[in-house]
Amino acid sequence: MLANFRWLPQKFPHLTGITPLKTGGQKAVFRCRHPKYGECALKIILPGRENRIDRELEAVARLQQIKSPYVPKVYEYGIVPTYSDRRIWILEEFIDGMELSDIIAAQPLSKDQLLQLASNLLSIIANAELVNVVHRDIKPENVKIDSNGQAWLLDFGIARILDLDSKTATSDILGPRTLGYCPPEQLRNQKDDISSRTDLFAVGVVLYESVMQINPYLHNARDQFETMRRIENDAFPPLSLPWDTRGRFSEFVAALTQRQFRHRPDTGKEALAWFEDIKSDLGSTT
Amino acid sequence: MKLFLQFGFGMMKLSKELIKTWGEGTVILSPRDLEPEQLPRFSKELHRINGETLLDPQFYLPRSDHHRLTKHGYWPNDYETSAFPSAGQTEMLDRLIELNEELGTSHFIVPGLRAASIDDVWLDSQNRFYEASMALTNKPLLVTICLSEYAIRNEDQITKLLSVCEQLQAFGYYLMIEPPANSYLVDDPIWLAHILDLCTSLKRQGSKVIYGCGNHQQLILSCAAIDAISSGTWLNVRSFVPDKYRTKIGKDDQSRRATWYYCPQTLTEYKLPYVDLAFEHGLIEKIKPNPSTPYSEGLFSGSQPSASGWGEYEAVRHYLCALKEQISGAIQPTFEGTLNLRENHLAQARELLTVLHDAKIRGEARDFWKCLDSSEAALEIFKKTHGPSVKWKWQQMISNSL
Repeated sequence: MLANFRWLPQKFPHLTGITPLKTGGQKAVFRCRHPKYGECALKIILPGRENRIDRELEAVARLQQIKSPYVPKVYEYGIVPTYSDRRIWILEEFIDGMELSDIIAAQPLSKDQLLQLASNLLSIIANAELVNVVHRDIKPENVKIDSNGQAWLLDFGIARILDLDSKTATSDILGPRTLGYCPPEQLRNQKDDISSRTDLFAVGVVLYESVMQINPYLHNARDQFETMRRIENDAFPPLSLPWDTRGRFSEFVAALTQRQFRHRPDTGKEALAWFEDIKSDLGSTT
Repeated sequence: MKLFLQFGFGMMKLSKELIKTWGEGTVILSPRDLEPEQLPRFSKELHRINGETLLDPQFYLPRSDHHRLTKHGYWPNDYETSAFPSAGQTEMLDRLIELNEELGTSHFIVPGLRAASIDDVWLDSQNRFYEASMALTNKPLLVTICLSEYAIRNEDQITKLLSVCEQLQAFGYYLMIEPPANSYLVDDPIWLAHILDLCTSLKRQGSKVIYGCGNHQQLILSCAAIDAISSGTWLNVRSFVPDKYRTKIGKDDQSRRATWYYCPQTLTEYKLPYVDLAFEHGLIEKIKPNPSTPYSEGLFSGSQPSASGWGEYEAVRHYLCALKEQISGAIQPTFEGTLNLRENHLAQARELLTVLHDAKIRGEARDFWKCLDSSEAALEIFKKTHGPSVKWKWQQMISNSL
C-alpha cells in the first residue's frame, strides 16, 4: 500500500513511524506519531469531485465542533497536492482499542458493556445533532472499545452536515449507507428525512447485534436485495434480555429501530434522556 | 381532552343550552350554517355565557357554490383567477382576520383546501396560507389539514405531510378527515391507524390537535393525547362529508332524522324500537348509560321507553353530554392507564354487544360491532409503532394541551 503513498514522509516530515492501518475506496488511514499530539491517525482522502474540496473541508471543520469525549479529536487538516491530484488530509486522535465487530464476534456484550455502549453512542449522537451532523454509518466496524471499556465512534466519512448541501446527487435512487444498519429513509436517499433519527436506527441495530450476535437484516439473507427488502418491510425482532425484567430496554431498542423515522425518538437528546432513565432503573453504575 | 361543539344545522339553541349547563365550552362556528349577520350575534351570546368560539372558514372546496358559504364577506369572488394566490388570498385572509376579531375567537383557524392527495401543489397552498396568516395576525394559528380518504390511507403521503409540519412548527392543527365512502362509523383499520399516527406525530411535534367533525369512534385518539374532538348533532357534523360544502343539498338533514339513543358503554346508537326490545328482554339495565346524563333519565323511567316521550331534543343533548363525559375522562395520568381504559372499553363493548345481539338488539348502521376489530387493530399498530416513545413522552404530551 505504501507504494502509492511514497510521497507521505516528504509531505509530512514532522510525522514519524507512518504505518498503514486501513485502505479502501477513496480513503487510506495511517498510524503515525506527531511531536505535539503523540499517537495519531492520518487520513488521506481523495475527494469525489475536485470542485467539492472546499465543501469537504467545511464538513471536516464542522466535525471538529462535535463536543464529545468519544469522538476522536481532529487536530489538523488541509489539502495536500500529489503528482496526479489534490487530496484532503486529516490528522486526528488515535484510538487504541478493539473494534466492536471483533468483540461481538467472540462473545455477546455483558449488561454493563451494553449499557456503556448505548450511553456513549447516544451521547455522541446528541452532541453531533447540536452541530447538525449525522454520522450515517454507525456499525460495529466503526466503533472502537478502548481499554477503559468506553465506546468511540470513528469514521465520519459519509457524515451529512444538515445545513450544508448534500454530497450525494438527489437523483441517486440509493443513498450512501452500509446495508444492514441504515433505515429506509437513508436507503431510499430521501435527503430531507435524514436526521439524527437516522443514526438512532443504526444504534438500535448495533445494540441488538451486540447481544444477539446477529444482524437481523443480514443474517442468512440471500443477497443485498433480500436485506433491502427486510429493511423496507420487516418489523425489527423484539429483544428479550434476562436482566431487563420490566422490558424497558427492549422497548427502547424497539423504538430506535422503527421503520418510520417519526416513530423513533424525536431527537438524540431525547433518546439519551430516555436511556439514562432506563439505566438508572436498571441500577447500572456505568 | 375536551369536547368542542361543531356547529351544524339547528344548533343555536342547543349550543347555548349546553354551554350554560357545562359552565364553559367552545363552539366551532360554521359559516355554512349561519348567515353573515348571525355569526357575530351568536358568538357574542356564547361569550356572554362563558363560551369560547372558533371560526372554521370551511374553504375545503374553494369552487363551492354553496349559497350561504359564498355569501360571507371573506369568500373570494373568483378563485379561478391567477391573482388568487397573491392578492386574492391576502384579501381573503384580511377579511377572515377581521371577522375573527369581530367574533372574539380565541385562535385563528387557517383556511386549508381539501387534499385529494398530498402533493407539492397542495403543500404549497398550505404553506402560503400559513405564512400569510402568520404575517397578518397575532392570534395562535390552527392550521387546517383536510384530507381525502385516499390521502389518509397512504403512508408515504402522511410521511410527506408530517415532514412539512415538522418544519412549520405550527401552534396547532384542525383536522378534517374524510371517512371511507362517507361512512359515519369506520371499519377500516388502516384509516383509523393512520389517523392515530397523524395525530400522535403532530402532538409529538409539540402542536395542539383538534379533530373536527368527530364522534365517539375517535375516543381512541386519547392515546395520542389530542386536545379536543369536535362533534355535533347530526351525522354531517360527526364525520366529514365534503359534499355538504359543495352546494346546498335537498332540505338539509332534518328530513332524514330519526331518534337514536347513544349507549356509551357499547359505543352504539339504537333506534327507540330496539331500546323497547331491550326493555322486553329485561336487558334495559345493560344499555342504560353509566353514568347517566340529565337528558337520558326520561328514557329509563321504568315504562316502555318509546312511550316515555323521549325524542330528538333529548337524544342529541344526551349524545353530546355522554360524549363529553367520555372525552373528559379519556386521558389518564399515565399512557398505560389511557391505553388500558380504551382497550377495556372496547372489550367491555364487545361483551355487552354479544349479549344484546343474542337478543337481536342491534344498532343497525350505528352498531359499533363492525368497528371493534378495526379499532383494536389500529391500537395494536399504534402500540408497536409510537407506543414506546409516547409512553416516554406522555407527561410532556398531556401537559402541552389546549
